[in-house]
Amino acid sequence: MDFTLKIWRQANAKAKGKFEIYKISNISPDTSFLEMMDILNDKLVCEGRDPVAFDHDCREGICGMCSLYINGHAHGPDSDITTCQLHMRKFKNGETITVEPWRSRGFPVIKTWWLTAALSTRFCKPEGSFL
Amino acid sequence: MSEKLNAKIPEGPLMEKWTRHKAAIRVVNPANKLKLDIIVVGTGLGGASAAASLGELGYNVKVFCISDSPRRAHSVAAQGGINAVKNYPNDNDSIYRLFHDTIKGGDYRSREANVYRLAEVSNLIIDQCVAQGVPFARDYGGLLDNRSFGGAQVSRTFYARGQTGQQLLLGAYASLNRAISKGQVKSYPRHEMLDLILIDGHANGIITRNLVTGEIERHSAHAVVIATGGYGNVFFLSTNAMNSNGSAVWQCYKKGAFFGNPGFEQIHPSCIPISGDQQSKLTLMSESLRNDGRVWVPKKKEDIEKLRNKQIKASQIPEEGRDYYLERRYPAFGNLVPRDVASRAAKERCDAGYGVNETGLAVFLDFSTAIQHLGKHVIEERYGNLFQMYEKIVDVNPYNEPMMIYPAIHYTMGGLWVDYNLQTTIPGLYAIGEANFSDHGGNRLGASALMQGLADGYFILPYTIGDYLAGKIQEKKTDTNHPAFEKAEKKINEKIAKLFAIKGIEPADYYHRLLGKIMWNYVGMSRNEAGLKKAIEDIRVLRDEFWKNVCVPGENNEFNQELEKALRVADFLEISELMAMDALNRKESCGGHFREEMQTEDGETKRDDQNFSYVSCWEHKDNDTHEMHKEPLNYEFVKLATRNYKD
Repeated sequence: MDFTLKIWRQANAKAKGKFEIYKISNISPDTSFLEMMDILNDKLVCEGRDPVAFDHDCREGICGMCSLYINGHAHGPDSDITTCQLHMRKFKNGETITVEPWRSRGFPVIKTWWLTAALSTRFCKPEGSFL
Repeated sequence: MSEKLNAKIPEGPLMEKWTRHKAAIRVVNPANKLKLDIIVVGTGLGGASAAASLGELGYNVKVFCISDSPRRAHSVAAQGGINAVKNYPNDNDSIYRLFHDTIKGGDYRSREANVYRLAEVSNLIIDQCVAQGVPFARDYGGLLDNRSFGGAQVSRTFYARGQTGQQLLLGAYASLNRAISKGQVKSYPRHEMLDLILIDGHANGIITRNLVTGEIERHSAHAVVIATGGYGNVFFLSTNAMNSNGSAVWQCYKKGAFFGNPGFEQIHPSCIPISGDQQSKLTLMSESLRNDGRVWVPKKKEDIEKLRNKQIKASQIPEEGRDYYLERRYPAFGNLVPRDVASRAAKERCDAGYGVNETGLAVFLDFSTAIQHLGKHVIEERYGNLFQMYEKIVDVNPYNEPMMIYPAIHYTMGGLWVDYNLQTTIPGLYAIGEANFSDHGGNRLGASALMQGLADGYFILPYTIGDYLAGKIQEKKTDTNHPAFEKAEKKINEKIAKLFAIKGIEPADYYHRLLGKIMWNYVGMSRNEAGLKKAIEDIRVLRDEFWKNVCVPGENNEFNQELEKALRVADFLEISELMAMDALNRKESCGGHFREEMQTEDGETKRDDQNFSYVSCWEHKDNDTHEMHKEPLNYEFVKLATRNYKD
């Protein structure tokens, strides 16, 4: 499957963010959303660009670390799951997918010092909610 | 035997050792505890329970974790349950039976005294957790319920649906928070330990990297406790969390702590099979499912063909066409044989061409019999969250069609060598939970990892560490300007600078995936001499490649996940070699360590007690060489026997 990704990128808590567009192709419908992000990141690293930072850990829906806001929904279009359990089969081939941090005071974008001119997404949260 | 390898097993009868030992060791009085600092690294069940308990005792504790919150630690993902010998079902359980099952399950390669103590304190854990409010499952009458796990013929596993680890961790985390709010514990989330500080041969601190700012920090203490879990992520694809790693353990090893049985890994029989090469992790389906699930493959090859071509569904294959191979091969234990046995049996069927999916690497775990007998609602109550998890990942409803499962790397029995006090060969350095080697021998029984983590943290370490710290009450806090800190920090900065300077072409994940393939092929479920030698060569080549060609973007002084990964992969590329060396040295099969050269006629493990009844204890030497020492396993109370799960 092929997708257009519209990803919010922000160097740090105070920097002004903006959406960047990325194309990604040859993604299996059985690939998870975060695995798709891994593939994007590996590609960005190989091209000498900055990967997208996102929190994640258990990748089985129990630790509560992942926290993406996808197409206007917390954890994306599927129900009763966290982002890490979302699979690409839930999207249409060719779809444009919008990816943002949680826009909530309880989950601030992480503060970092980003020294290069490049933009980088930095969204992470300190203490998360229970599942 | 190295003089450092004194296991300090107390004298006396097995059932009195722990009692006698507790009476013999020193304690620290409340006023002196206030003068003593302890560092705990890791906040899973072991680390959180230890930090909470030590804080409550009055020590000054600093606790470190790599996540944003202690409660993310991967203990959170443990599903099935925790063992204890309450004997509530009245099925003749006892401390001795749990002890014996654990020794036997570990294929007679663990230490008797440690295992007996573990069984002995197991009941305390349940009482402690109930008092914390952990919502263990209860029966109709309100009593705590039990279910069965592999390698046991009694029901002794306490559980909270398929989320036992999460509930236990929330309990430990609540205790930890209480100690934090009292000011006895200071919490350092998003901090990764990068080195251990030794002063005059004693563990006196650690160096950490603040994962948000990149700052390299120095922390001193009178003792250091490692509770960072296992190194199973060496295989890239495993049931571990993505950030679980072996770096803290490895840095301790490189500073002189011995590594016990690095080649003992657990491969869990029931995980969701690999779907393709874009996959990043494997998801466990709890062993508890084998209480009600029956494992099978079709008897006829033509049914296999039809399944793979999607011409038929599993539910259409009639009863007489199914080979319930665990029930056939192991009548006495059936579907509840230990993990290593169940994994190998699945591999045997798949290698013979009976794998049920397109890749040929899957078997069925079927609930239709249980649903018929008990009703769907009972199965839903017991495993609802697991069924939902399966459906989300695989897109098949397991209430209608059987699950497909295949073995995957899950746990490492090997770890830092510790004595009876859980102290490593470095004075003042302790290792608890999965990070140590001590209790599970060649194979861990299900529902025993939670038991060990909490036993170590709540009930063992808080006593044994006092014996060491009693000798430190006159000792001043170590100044973090000590040259040992200077030197370690400089070395870390150089290592990080070196990684950035490579400016290569491949991300760290690329090397991690390749390493995982080498490990799975040659140091996985089935091992042989030629394969292990090849693995060692391949790992060395890959390690050289990594240090020539890895690409780490960004800077050190920022939130940099690629740098985190590169540092961990660099360590995995070293740990893996020691794992292969250990597996090569052990020319016997035991538990999860299956050497093809050593098997019985029907493909079971064949131990060599004459030559290998020991813990292999590896010591790091100059120029990154490794020397092996032996801790002989003297069985005073258990008679060594061939494991038999057939009758």
